[in-house]
Amino acid sequence: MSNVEIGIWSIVAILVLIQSGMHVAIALSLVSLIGVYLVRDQFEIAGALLSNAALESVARYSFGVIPLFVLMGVLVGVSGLGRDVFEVAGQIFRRFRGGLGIATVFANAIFAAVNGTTIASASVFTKVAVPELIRQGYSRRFSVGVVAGSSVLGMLIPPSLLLILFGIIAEVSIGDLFSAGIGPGIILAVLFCLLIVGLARFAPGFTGTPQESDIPLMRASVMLQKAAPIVLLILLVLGGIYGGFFTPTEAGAVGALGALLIAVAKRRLGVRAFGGILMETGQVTASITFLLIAAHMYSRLLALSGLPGAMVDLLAVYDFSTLSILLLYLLAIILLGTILDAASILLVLVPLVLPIAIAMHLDMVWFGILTVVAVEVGLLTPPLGMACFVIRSNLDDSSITLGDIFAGALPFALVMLLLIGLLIVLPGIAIFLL
Amino acid sequence: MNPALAALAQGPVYRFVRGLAVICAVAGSVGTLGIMALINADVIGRGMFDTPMPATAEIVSAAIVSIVFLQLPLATVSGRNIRSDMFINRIEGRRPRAAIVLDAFHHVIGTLMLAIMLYFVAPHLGTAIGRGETIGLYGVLLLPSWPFVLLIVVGLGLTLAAYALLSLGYVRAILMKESGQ
Repeated sequence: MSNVEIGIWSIVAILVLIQSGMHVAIALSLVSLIGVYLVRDQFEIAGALLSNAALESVARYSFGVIPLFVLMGVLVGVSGLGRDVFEVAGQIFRRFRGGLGIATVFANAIFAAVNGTTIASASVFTKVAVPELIRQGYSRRFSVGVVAGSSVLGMLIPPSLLLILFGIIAEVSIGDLFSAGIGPGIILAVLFCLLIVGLARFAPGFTGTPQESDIPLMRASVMLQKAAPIVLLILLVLGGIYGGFFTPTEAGAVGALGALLIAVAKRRLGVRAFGGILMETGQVTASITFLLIAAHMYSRLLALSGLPGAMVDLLAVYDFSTLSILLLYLLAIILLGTILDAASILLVLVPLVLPIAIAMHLDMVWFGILTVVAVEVGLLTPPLGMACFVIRSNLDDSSITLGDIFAGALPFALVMLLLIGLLIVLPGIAIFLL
Repeated sequence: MNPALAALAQGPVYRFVRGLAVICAVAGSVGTLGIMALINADVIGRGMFDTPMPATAEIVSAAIVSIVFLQLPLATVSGRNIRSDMFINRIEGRRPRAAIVLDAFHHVIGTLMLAIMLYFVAPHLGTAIGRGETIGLYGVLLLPSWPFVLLIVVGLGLTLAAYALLSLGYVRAILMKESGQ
């Protein structure tokens, strides 16, 4: 078996093992170990790869962002900032048709700026927004669909765990990726709002017919008081990064401290709750970073097998256009999204296509944003739509099925395809800030 | 939770391993708060008083690996390691025994991989102590590297124990089903 063939079979093996339910990190390290042994014919070299990945691959300053942004996100969730911003948004949009739907998107966009995971957004807004939407007369399907759709903003608007993962795997500046996520994030939020207005007008059977808003008017001072903590935190984190006071890694630490102070000030943080927050942060951090360590082994195997280089040569022979290769890549991501979770897609696919993207002289920051948006489509579509699973597990109403959530999220997934098209036609919406 | 694992969770060995895992996770969390405090001190010191904390980047880089491996045992024993459980959930409904056999296989492979990792990582502890390896910036702040490596080895060892224990639980579940209980 040639080395390139070993590379190809390693990908097949990884897909099968992950699909069968093996822990992703274990599957990646197992296949890497065997693959390197087959390529180099020496078990010692394969073992050295393992220990090197464990000891060295994450020993970098930039990896500090993972636990710190996770900690910040968990703290922000506990402090009830999600509910506060949703209530304020409900006031702002109370006059619009489909106003509470728009408020959900708006609140999610704001919440996304202090939180890096779709899971956190989806679980917070399932509890906060879904009961309120249903109470106002929106259909169940639409209510959960809005929350699912807008939760993807959590991983597009910085800070974002997926952008951090891409930055680490592709060795692209995380700060640049964060800057590039803002434009598409805002555009996607606006597109979602237009979609909601359109659906409310032309497809009332889907959205349901909400009554006149019956939310009691809130005094401006109360609104200010509710909005202030989250606005301050956003200014602190994003202002600090773009003002040049600190790097994105350091922003994780500053934001986590800020969120901690807010939680203490709002008296949401007992000793027991704080212990729970730290444990939750630790488990999320450990499972994600263990994946990254294993992905490092796998990318070394790919490099040793020479498969990425062979693919570059192959594509050069057939003289495909950049656009067709790009579309093929995006299609592959969306198809993989039906069998793999978001992080695993990045870990499996990015090391493989990176040499090709570099050979085509693509802007790596733009390429990263495009990749992450495509990966996020998979969060909303069956069978593995993570955002929909999170919503299902946080719902108190057992009459809403997973099928309802997928159906409700479908229009939002289609709008994300529109954003992908926009990003290809107008790369500037991602990279204008760089 | 799977009945086989529920039975396992009441055993003294499981509680002992889980207890150790919690202790490690707490230590890792303290480490996370530590790097948060250190980076904030560095940012504030640098921005306001023009005196950055020495070797912040180097200490954070070394600490992050130890923190991750200290938190891995609890994540493992709690079943939080990332996996795609769609397929296994689907066959669990129709053929519960097949699902348990598959789970047993996955955890045995996990045990094996952790054992291999530990086998190749552990000698680095001896090297770190023997050669007196350090981290930090020469002439500014130097720390011995062996405590960081020691924490990694401890975390790996405990994760190995967690995988082995879960494997045993699943294997026992297969045997239990066979004897018709």
